[in-house]
Amino acid sequence: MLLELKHLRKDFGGLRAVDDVSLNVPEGAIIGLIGPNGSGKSTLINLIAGTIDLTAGQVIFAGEDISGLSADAVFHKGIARGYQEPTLYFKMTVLDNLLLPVKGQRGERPWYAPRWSTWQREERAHALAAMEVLRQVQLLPYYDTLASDLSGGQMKLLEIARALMGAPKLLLLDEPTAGVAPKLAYDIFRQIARLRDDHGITLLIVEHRLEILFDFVDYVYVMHLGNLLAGGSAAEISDHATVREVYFGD
Amino acid sequence: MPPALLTTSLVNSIQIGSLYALMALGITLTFSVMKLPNFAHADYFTAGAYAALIVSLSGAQNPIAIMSAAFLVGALTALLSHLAVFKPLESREVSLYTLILASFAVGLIIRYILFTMADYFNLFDLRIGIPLQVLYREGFLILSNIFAWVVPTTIALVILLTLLLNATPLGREMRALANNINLARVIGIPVERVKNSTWLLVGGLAGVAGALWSLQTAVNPLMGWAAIISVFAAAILGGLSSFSGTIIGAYVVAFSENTVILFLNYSFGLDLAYKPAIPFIIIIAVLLIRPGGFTQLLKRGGKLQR
Amino acid sequence: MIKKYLIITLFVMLTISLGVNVGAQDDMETYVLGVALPFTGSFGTFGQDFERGIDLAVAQMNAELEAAGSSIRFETASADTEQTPEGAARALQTIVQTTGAQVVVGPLTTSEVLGAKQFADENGVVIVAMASSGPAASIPGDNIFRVIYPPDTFSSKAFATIALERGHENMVVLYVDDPFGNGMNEQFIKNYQASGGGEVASFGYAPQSTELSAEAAAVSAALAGFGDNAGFFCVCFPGAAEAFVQVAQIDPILTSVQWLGNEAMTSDEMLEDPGHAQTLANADFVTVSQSADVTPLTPIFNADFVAMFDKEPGIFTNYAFDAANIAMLTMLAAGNDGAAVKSMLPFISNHYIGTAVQAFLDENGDQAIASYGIRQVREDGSGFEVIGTYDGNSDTITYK
Ligand SMILES: Nc1ncnc2c1ncn2[C@@H]1O[C@H](COP(=O)(O)OP(=O)(O)O)[C@@H](O)[C@H]1O
Ligand SMILES: [Mg+2]
Repeated sequence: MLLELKHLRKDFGGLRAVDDVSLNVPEGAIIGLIGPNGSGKSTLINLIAGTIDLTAGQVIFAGEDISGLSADAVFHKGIARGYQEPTLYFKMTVLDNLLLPVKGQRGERPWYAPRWSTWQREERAHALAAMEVLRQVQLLPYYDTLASDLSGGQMKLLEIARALMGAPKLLLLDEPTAGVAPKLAYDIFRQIARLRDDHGITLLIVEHRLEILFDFVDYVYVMHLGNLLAGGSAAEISDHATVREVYFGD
Repeated sequence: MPPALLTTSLVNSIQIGSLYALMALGITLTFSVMKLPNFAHADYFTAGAYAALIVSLSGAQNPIAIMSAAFLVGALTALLSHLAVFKPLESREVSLYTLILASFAVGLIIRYILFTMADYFNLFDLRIGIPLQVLYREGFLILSNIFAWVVPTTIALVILLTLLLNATPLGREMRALANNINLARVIGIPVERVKNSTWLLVGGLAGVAGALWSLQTAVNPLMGWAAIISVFAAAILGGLSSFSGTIIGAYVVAFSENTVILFLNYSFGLDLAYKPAIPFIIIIAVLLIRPGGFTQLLKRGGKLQR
Repeated sequence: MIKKYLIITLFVMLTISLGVNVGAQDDMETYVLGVALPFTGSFGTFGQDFERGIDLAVAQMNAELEAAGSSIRFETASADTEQTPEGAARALQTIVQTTGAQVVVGPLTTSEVLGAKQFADENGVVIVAMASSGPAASIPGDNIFRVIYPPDTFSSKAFATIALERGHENMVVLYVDDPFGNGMNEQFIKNYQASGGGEVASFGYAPQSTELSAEAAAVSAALAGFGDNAGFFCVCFPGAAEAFVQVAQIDPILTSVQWLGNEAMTSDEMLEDPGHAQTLANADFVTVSQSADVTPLTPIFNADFVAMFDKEPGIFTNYAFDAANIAMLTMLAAGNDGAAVKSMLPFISNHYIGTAVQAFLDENGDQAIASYGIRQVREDGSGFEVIGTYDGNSDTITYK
C-alpha cells in the first residue's frame, strides 16, 4: 500500500468534517473519491497534504507515519497536490511556476545568487526539464505566458505539471476538471492517466464528473457527511443503491 | 525662486532621495516578503553607518572596503533580529500589531547597544574621513565627490537588486513568498532559507545606505531613527509593494524636503523648521487619498510580482 | 502567583535594606542634589562632562563637611533629559519622586529648562541651571535660577555690534527653532536694526535635524540676494552646526562671506575636521562667549578635575561645578527645603565667586553680570584665540 489512512478525523469547531475515515491507495492505482458537496473530500485531501492539522487518526505513506508533518515536509516525502481552485503564481510565467518547486537550486542561496555564472548551467538544465514536462501536458507554447493569462483548463494542467516537477510518488487532485469545458475535461483525464502509465505516479482524484472519472479509475471511494459510505469498482459504485440514493437522489 | 537655489536644491533632492531609496527599498522588500512593516530597519542603517565609521577610523579609506563592512554588519544585524525575535513571534502567529511593536523594540535595543558602544569609545557625531570636494562646477551646478559616490552607487545597487529579484532563482522564490507564502510551502520552496536570505539582503542594503549617509553627515546612534519617517513615507508612497513606486516615492519625499519647502519658504515665507512635518503630511495624504501609493498608478511596472 | 509573591518579597527586602541603611547612619543627614542633564543626543558629551564637574563639587564638599565634623552629606541623583523639553520634565519628575530632592542642578538648554519649569514651580523644587541663556526663561519669581551664564539679551547685542563693525549692511541668520534660538534671533534682529543695520533674513531649522542641505541652500540664496557686504550669523547646536558646515564648505556664497556664530559651533570636534576648520577660518568666524576671564579658583578646579577624572574638563564644565556649589551652599544655609532654598539662593549667589565670574542675580533670577570673550578661529584653523572682550553691562567691546 502506498497510502493508508487510519481512522482519520477532522473537527472544525463543532462540525465533524471528516469522521473516522480509513482507506487504502495501492501503488500505481488511480483512485477516485466522490461524494456530494460538503461531504469532506477537500478536507480529506488537505489532511493528507498536511495543509491542515488532523484531529485524530494516522496517515501512513510508503510505510512511514507522516501524520502531523508540515505541508513542505509532506511535499518532500513525495506527495504533490492540485487544488479545487487553481492555485498558481498568477503574476509569474508558466516556466517560473514550474521552476519554483525544484529542490536544492544553487541560485537560491544568497552567496551564489548574485554570481550568475555559478548557477546558469544548472538553471538551464532545470528549464529544459520543465519544458519537457510542459510538452507532455501540451503547454509548451505557453512557457513565457503569465499564468493568469491561461484558460481554466490550462491552469489545471499547469498545476499538474508543477506537481510533476517534484517527481512525486502520489498526486492528490481536487476536482481537476472543475470549471473546464467538457471536451478539455476529457483531455485532462487522458493526461492524468498518462502520468500513471508513463511515470508510474499513483493518483487520488476528487471529481464531480463521474461519467469521465469512471472511465479512468481502478477503484472509487464514496464520502457522505464526513463518513466513508462505500468503496468499489466504477461499475459496483454506479449500481450501489445507497450511493445512488445520497448521490443522485434516486 | 532664484536659479541657484533651484539648482542646488535639486542636486540635494537627488542625493538625499538616492539614500532614501536604498533604505525604502529594504522596507518595501521586508513588507512584501515578510509582511512586516519593520521600524528596526532604521537601526540596521545606523549599524551599517557605525561599521563604516569604525573601518574608516581604523585606517581603511577604500570605499569598497568601507561599504562591504557596512553591508555585512547591516545584514547580520537584520538576520539576527529575525532569528532572535521576528521568527519566534511569527511561529506563535501573533498579530501584526505585536510584530510592529516588536520591531520598535528591536530597533530600540540596537539603538541603545550602539549608544553604549558610542559612549564607551566616544564615537558621537563623527564623520567618515573622506573630505568633501567639488568635482564639477558649471554655473550654479555644483557636484561634489560625495554626490559622485552616492548616486552611482544607488543606481548600481538598484539595478543589481532588480536583476537579483527578476532573474535569479532566489529572486523568483522571494517573489513567490511575497505573493503566496502558503503555496510556497506546499510546493516545497525552502521558505525559512529564503526569508533568511531576504533579511541579509535587506539589512545589507540598509547598511550600505548608512555608510553613504555617513559620508555626508555625522554618524550618531539616532541617525537612522531621524531618517526613518521620511523613508517610510517613501515606501508608503510606493504602496509598500512596488520597487519603482518606492524609488519614485523616495525622490518625491527628498524633493519635498528640499526643493518644495525652499520654494514655499521663498514664495510664501513658510518656516524651514516645518521640514520634519513633510513626511508625516505625505504619509497621511497617501493613506487618505490613495492608499495604494504610486503602485496603483503603475499597475504592472516594477511590481514585486513582476 | 509565585511571581507576584517574589516581587512583593523583593519590595519588602528593598524597603528593609533601605531602612537599615538609614538606621545605621541615623546621626547623619543626607541632602540629595538632583542632576538633570542631557546624557544622550548632540549635547550628550556636554551633559556627561557637566555631571563630572558636579560630582567633583560634591566630593569636595563632602570631604570638607567630614573634616569639619558636620553631620550633613550630599548625594547626587541624576536623570537624562534626552535634550528635549518633555525629557527634562520626565527627568525632574523621576528625580523628585524617587529621592525627594528639593534642588536640581541643570538642565542644559533653555528649552529643557522651560520643559522642567512647570513641575518645578508646582512642586516647589528649585532649578539651578548653569548654561541656559534664552531670554524666554527670564521670568521673575519662579523657581528657576540661572546663576552663571547671563541671558542672551547681552550676547545678541555683542553679535549685532560686531556685525555692524564688520560693515555688514544686511544679515542672514540660521537659528535652531527652539526657545534659545528664537530668543537669540529676535534679540539679534532688534539690536542690529536699532543700531542702524539693514534687512535680516532668518531661517529656523528643526531642533533634532542632522541634515541641513536645504537650510544651507536657503541661507546661500538669501546671502546672494543681499549682494556684497552681507554677513551670516549661525545659531546652531553642535550636531547641526557640523552638518551645516559640512554642506556649506563647498557653497560658493557661504565660503565668501564672514560668519558669526554661537559658542556651540566652537566645539573641538568642529576643528578636528580639516575641511570644517578651514571653512571657519576663511569665514573669519567669530564667536562671543561667556567670560574668558579666570579667577584664582579656575586653575585649581582644572587640576582637581584632571586628578579625579584623568581628563581635561570640557568647555563650561566649570559652570556646572559652580552651579552645584551655589546649590549646596544654599542648602547648607537654608536647609533641605525647596521654599527656603528659593528664598535664600539669590543672597548666596550674590556672595559667590567661583571658577568663572562673580555671580549676581537680577530680578528674574538670572546672572546679571555679562562679561564675554570674543574669540576667533586662528588662520590655520588650529584653534580659537581671544581677540577681545565684551562688557555687556556697559555695552562696550575692547579689542586686544
Ligand atoms: N476551514 C474550515 N473551517 C470550518 N469548516 C470547514 C472548513 N473547511 C471545510 N469546512 C466544512 O467542512 C465540511 C466539508 O467540506 P469540504 O471538505 O470542502 O467538502 P467537499 O470538498 O466534499 O465539498 C463542509 O461542511 C465545510 O463547510
Ligand atoms: Mg471540495
